[in-house]
Amino acid sequence: MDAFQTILKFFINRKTAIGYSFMALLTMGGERVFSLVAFRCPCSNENLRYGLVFLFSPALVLLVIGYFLNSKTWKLFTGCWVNPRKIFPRGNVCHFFYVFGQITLNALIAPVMWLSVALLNGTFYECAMSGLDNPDYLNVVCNRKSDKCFGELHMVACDKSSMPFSESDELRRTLQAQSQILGWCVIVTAALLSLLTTCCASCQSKVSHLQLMFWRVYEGTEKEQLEQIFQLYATKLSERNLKCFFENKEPEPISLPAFQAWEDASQLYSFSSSKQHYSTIHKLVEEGQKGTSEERETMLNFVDRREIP
Amino acid sequence: MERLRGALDFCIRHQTVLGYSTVSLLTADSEQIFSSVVFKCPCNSGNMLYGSVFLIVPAFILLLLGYMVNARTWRLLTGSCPLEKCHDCSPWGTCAHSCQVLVLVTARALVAPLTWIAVALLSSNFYTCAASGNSLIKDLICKDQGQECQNLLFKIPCDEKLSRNISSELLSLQAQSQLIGWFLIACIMTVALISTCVSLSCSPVSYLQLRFWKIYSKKEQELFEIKAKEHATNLAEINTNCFFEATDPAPFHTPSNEDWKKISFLYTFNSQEQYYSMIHKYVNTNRGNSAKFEEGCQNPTVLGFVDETHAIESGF
Repeated sequence: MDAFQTILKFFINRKTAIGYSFMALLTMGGERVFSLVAFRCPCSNENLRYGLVFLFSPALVLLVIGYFLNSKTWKLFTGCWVNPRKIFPRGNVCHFFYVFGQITLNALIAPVMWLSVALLNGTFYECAMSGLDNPDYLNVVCNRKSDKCFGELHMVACDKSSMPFSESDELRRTLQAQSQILGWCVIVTAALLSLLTTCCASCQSKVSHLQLMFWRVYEGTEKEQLEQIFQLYATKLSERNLKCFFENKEPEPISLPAFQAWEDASQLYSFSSSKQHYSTIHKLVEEGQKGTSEERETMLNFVDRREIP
Repeated sequence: MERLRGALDFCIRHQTVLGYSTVSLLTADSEQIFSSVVFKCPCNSGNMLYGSVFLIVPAFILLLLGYMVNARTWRLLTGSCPLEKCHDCSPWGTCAHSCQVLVLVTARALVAPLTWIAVALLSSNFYTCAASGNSLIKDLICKDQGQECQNLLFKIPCDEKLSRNISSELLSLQAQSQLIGWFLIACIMTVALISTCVSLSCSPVSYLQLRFWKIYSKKEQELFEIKAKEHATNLAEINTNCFFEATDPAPFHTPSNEDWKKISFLYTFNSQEQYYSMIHKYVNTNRGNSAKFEEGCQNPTVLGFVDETHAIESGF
C-alpha cells in the first residue's frame, strides 16, 4: 500500500504537467482522426475555404469549451444580469476585463495546441493554400515550374494534376514545409508570450513564493471542506424537511447562511496586502458577514484557477 | 512487495538523475518521431530555412519550457520587482546573486535542448536538409559547376544515390552531421565535468556536511508540505464552519505576510553561522527580528540542490 501511495503522490505532484501532456496527446489524436477520416480536400476553387474551415473551426470549438470548463467564467457571470454592479463594482470597473482576460488566456491553450499540431501535419494548410488565387503568391510558389502550375495548383493536393510527378511532389513538399515553419512559429510565439506574462505577473506579485505555495494548498483544502460541509448541511436540512413532512411535525431550527452572505461569499477573491486573508470566506469570517469593502486590490492569477482540468 | 519497495526507494533517492534521464529519453524519442513522421525536406531553395528551423526552434522551445518548469526561476522572480528585499545588501550584490542563480537555472534548463540538438545531428536528417541548401557547402562541393550542380545538391536529401555521385573527396553530409553531433556531445560532457569540479572545489562546505545538507533540505521540504496541508486544513475547517454557523472564528495563529517574506529569500550560506535553510535561520534568530538575520549577503551559494527540492511541489 505504501508503494502505491508513493506512486500516487508522485503523479499528483505533477498533475499540471500530466494534464497538459494529456491535452496535447488528445489534440494530436483528434487531429490525426480528423485528417484521416473526415478531411477530403475538394481539389477545386473551394480549397481555400475548405482548408481554412478545417483549420479554424475546431480551434473555435476548443476555445468555447475552454470557457465553459473554467469555473471562474461562471463565478464571474452568475447573476450579473440581475445585478450589473456585481461585475462593474464602483471604482473598479476594469476588474471585469482583467478577470475575463485571464480566463481567455487559459482558454486559448487548447486552440493554440490544435493550430500548431494541424500546421505541423501540413494537410489542412496544403489544401487551403493550393486554392489561393493571389498572383504574387502563385509567382513565388510556381517559380521555375511549368506554366501548368498556375492553373493546376489546386489539384496538386489530390495528385490529379497533369504535371510530372517530380514537380507536383516538389510543390506538395514546399506547401507542407511552409505549413510546418508556420506551425513552429506559432508554438514559439505562444511559449514566449506565456513565459513573459508569467514572469511579469510573478515579478509584480505582492506575495512571496512560499506563501503562494501555502495559498494553493489552502485553496484546495477549502474547496474540499466546502464540498463536505455542503453535503453535511444538505443532508441535515433535507432529512429534517422530509421527516416533518411525513410525520407532520414542527421543524426544528437549522442555521444556514443568509442570502447576502452567499452573495458575498461568491465574489471573486482579490488579495489585499495589508490583510492576511486567503479567500473570500476567510475574509468574511474574520471581518463579519455584513458585506465587503471595495478597495482597489491586486489579483493573483492562480486563485480560482485550479478547477481547470 | 519488498522488491517493489526497494526499487521505489532507489528511485526516490536518485530522483534528480532519473528525472533528467527521463527528460533526455523523451527528447530523443520525440526527435525520432518528428524525424520519421513530420519532417519532409522540400528539396528546393527552402532547404536551409526548413532544416535550420527543425534543428533550432524545438531546442529553443525546450529551453523556454526548462525555465518555466524550474522552481528556482519563480523563487527568484516572485515579488522581486519591488526591490525592498535585502536592506543591507548593495544592489550590486543582489544583482550578482541573481545572475549566479540565473546561470545555474540556465544550466539545468539546457539539458533538453542540447539533447535534442545532439540526437538530431546524430540522426542527420535535419542537418543534411539544411546543409544541402547552404551556400558554403555549395561553394565547397560545386566549385565551378554552375546551377545544375546546385539543383542536384538540393535534391540530395530526397535521393540517397545522388550524394554518392556528387562528391567523393568530401565527407557526405550525413557523416559531417554525425561528426558534429559527437563533437557537441564531447564538448558538453567536458564542460559539465569541469564546471561540476570547479563548483564543488569552491564549495564552502565539506563533503559530509554537504550530504547532510542535501538530506536536511529534502526532509524540510517534505515536512513543509505536510505541515502546510495540516495548517491549511485546520484553517479551512474553522472558516467554513464559521461561515455556516454565522459565529466568530476561534483565534488561530497563522504566520504573517512578513514572516512568509522572510523565509522566502533564496538561501545564502554564511560560514560563520550554521544554518541549513532560511527557515532554520529565521527560527534561530528570534523569528527574523534579531540583527543577525539581515546579515548573510556574503558567499552566495553555488550549490545546486539548495532551493531545488521545491521543484517537486511547483507543479512539474
